[in-house]
Amino acid sequence: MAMNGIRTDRAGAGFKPMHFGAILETRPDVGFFEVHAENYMGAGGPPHAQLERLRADYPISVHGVGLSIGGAGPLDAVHLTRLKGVVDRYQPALVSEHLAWSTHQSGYLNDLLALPYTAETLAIVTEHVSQVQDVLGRKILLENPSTYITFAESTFDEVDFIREVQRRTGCGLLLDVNNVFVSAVNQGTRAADYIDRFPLAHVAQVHLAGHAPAEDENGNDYLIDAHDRAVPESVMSLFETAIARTGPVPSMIEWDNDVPAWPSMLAEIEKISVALRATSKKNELYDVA
Amino acid sequence: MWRNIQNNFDAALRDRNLPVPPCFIGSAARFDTYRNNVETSLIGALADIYPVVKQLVGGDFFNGVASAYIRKNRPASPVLSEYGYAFGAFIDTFEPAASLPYLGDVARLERAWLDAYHAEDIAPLKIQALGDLSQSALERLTFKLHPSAALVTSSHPVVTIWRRHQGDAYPDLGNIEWVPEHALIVRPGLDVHVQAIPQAAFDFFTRLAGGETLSSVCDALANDAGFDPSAHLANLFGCGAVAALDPGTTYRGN
Repeated sequence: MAMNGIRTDRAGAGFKPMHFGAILETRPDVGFFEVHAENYMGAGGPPHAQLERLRADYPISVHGVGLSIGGAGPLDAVHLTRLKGVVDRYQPALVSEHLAWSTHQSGYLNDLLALPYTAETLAIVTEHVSQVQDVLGRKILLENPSTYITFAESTFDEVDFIREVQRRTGCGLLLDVNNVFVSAVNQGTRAADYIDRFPLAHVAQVHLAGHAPAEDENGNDYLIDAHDRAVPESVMSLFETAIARTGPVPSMIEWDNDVPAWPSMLAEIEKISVALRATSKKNELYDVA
Repeated sequence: MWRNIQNNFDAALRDRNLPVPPCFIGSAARFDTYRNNVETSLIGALADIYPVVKQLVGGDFFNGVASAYIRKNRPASPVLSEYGYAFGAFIDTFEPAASLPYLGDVARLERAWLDAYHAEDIAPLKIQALGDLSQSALERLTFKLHPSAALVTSSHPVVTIWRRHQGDAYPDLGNIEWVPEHALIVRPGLDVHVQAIPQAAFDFFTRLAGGETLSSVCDALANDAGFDPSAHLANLFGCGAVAALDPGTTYRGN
């Protein structure tokens, strides 16, 4: 059971350098580790030494957080070249970026910001995704965002927009089920409907994470995509719904803030692995080939 | 036009006093989530680069100075390990930090430390390389320092202050000898080394790093107190700070 060189019966995790020692020592049975491309764009030093060591034992996925694919302006050519440097150096199993923007005239904002879904932004995102794929010489996965607001200008719904970007560029999709859940709560829609309508045939990777509850000035609850805790039952349940349809795909936990010690991270990986194996068993019942 | 909406979005992120642009559907608190994400994540990026500055001033003060810096200096690149080059100079002129006159120097040391951490990996040159050179080549010799090598000057004991904060969040600074210290930072392998060097060595290395020939640097510094080119060179090679030598086949002139 492998997809893109990654086993699909074992979940992965976002790599945190603080876990490096524990990983080397215990050699845990983990499907893959994901790194943020921007953390490996320096010329040398310990980050590269660690990643070289890690990838000797585990498949690696590279997750870009800084390309600003949804921005109105052109992509930062220097940054794209540096991303290519990381991808060429590590030959990751998967490369992904976000349907969001993060850079504008004032500089880099270090957040994944929402964009309106219109004919104009569809053309922009399509061009940017194609440009990234051309420069990297490979397919990338585009990740659905978590959003806190929407735009009066939008004429597409998000799933239709993503479906169209995929169709025009041939890119793969990274389904972040926590983002689906967060956005659905924030927009007052149903997360399960989003999954139902999503072009699941093109999903090559899944992200899971935890979110933080918040309350706005009108006394309404909303959620913040915080990546600061274990995957809640609500997101696990949405994950099971999704993989029941896609079959097992490379899936992983993102835990980027208040990062726990390795055993707690491994427990989350295990939780996701159990769900992947359960789906795989169910699929085998139908799969005569 | 998306560009116009993005301009408004960006402006509202920069200035909390601006109302949420009318094109958004959602509450002000939800829009503030973006403002908070931008601000706290960039403060976090500076805290990662400047941990000793943060220890010296405490979390609340650090958040204040970082927040003021961020307003004027957005990252130019998404590679946040390359952010904050002007933070030391910003601290120098940041009025509330005036009682800690060494703080800007500590920031410059930390910035150089992180550059060394991420610098290109190349094997340093050994001092034996000098032995192969003729007397005339030695005189015309110029040095290419290691990509990780950096020099930080200070009127304060910046290296001692920095070192006491490694592994100890609240060290006793009471018994520090309050003398100027200059730092030589280099990463010959995986570990970054920081050492305090005397004024004469600092001047010597700074001129060599600037591409001056060995003989012209020696002439210029010959009468300086503590100038000992053999000892300084032994240290420079010994800590792995030399990457290559140019025996002057190409005249550099001045």
